[in-house]
Amino acid sequence: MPVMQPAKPMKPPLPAHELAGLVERAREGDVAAFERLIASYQPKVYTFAFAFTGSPDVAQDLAQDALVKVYKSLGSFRFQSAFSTWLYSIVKNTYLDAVKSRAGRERALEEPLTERDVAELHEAATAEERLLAKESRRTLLRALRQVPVAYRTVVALADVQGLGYEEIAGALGVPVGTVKSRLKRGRDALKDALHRQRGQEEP
Amino acid sequence: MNCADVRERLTDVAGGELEGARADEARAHAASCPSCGRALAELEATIGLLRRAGQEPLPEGFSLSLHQALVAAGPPRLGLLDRVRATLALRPVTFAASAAALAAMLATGGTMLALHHAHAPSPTTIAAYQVPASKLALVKIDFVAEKAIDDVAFEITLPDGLRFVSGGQELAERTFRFQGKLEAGSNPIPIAVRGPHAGRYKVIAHAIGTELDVTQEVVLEVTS
Repeated sequence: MPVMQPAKPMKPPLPAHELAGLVERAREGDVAAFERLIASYQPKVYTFAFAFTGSPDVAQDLAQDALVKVYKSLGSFRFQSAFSTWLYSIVKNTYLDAVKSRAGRERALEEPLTERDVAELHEAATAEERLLAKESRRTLLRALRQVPVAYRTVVALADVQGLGYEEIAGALGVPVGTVKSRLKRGRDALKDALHRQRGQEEP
Repeated sequence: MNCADVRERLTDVAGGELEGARADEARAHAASCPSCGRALAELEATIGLLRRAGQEPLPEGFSLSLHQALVAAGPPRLGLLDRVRATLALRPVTFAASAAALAAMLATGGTMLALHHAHAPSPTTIAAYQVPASKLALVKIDFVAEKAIDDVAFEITLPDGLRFVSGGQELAERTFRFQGKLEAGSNPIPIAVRGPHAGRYKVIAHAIGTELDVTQEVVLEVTS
């Protein structure tokens, strides 16, 4: 049984004056200032993309597209919400647009396990090791793709990214109550997806 | 408590969002109910796996690839409010210009004087334009005067990256200075410029006359 661990704490946000200065410079086309602004968000956005797609290559393209959109949209950031909330709202929209597109639907198709995944499974000697290998990070994130996108978004933001209810509500533009209900349904759906996988793979 | 009540709380219990008596009740039920106990254990395992997943390491070359994409994308778009503010900022300016003088100079490629820039007040952004890099931009610096003012010295300066264009040719000079006057009302000065590279540029217009020292800027966004 895996041991419960708390979500990794978020890095402290940039001081307000530094954030404002970087936003101002980035708005003027200073790419270096923008890169400083999003430095701590790059891994989070990529992981979020990975949770959506389950594919490193597609996730890289999607994360890059999302961050370019964040850059191009800086003129609309009004400091009325946390920068992270505003950033995630754009990232989320980029991902949802990709899912809606034809290419996105194709990306959403379940992919077979890679040779590496299969090798991991066969190399695991005991049942416990096989279970841990089977439920490796990437396998888990692939299972996430079986969760409806509205729930998947909330699960990825809450349990993978470690965002709170309020921050997720701001990013998605929905009430906190909706975040809670989607998180519950998303976790249940993921639990069921993993359960089905175990059932399929057991003799 | 029955199973349905407990199932409603299980995900919050497993995620740690629900604590205290309500969580204890659910856990107590799960301890005595195999079905709910299994559901709680699976939820805890699922959430635990998600939280342990942490951050995927960035692929090699991600930051470099992103940097190239950002440069290629050009500067951020101006927000709507910026454009509205820019328009509104025109109104209180008491200022006019010698549009004909500059237009004629640009058209004929006439004499231009480079100016050693002295201290100038902070500029006010009065307008914003967007143009593809391959296109010629006709930028109008519109000065609105409440009354006519004679004998005004104008100076228009381009930043690095923009060129004045006259007769289809890019000019080497970065600064125009000329004498003119203000007419009451709108006095747009059209200037033709080109920027070969994507970026956001500020054209600075400075006017000095009797009881007059105004600096304005026009933002020109060159897109790729």
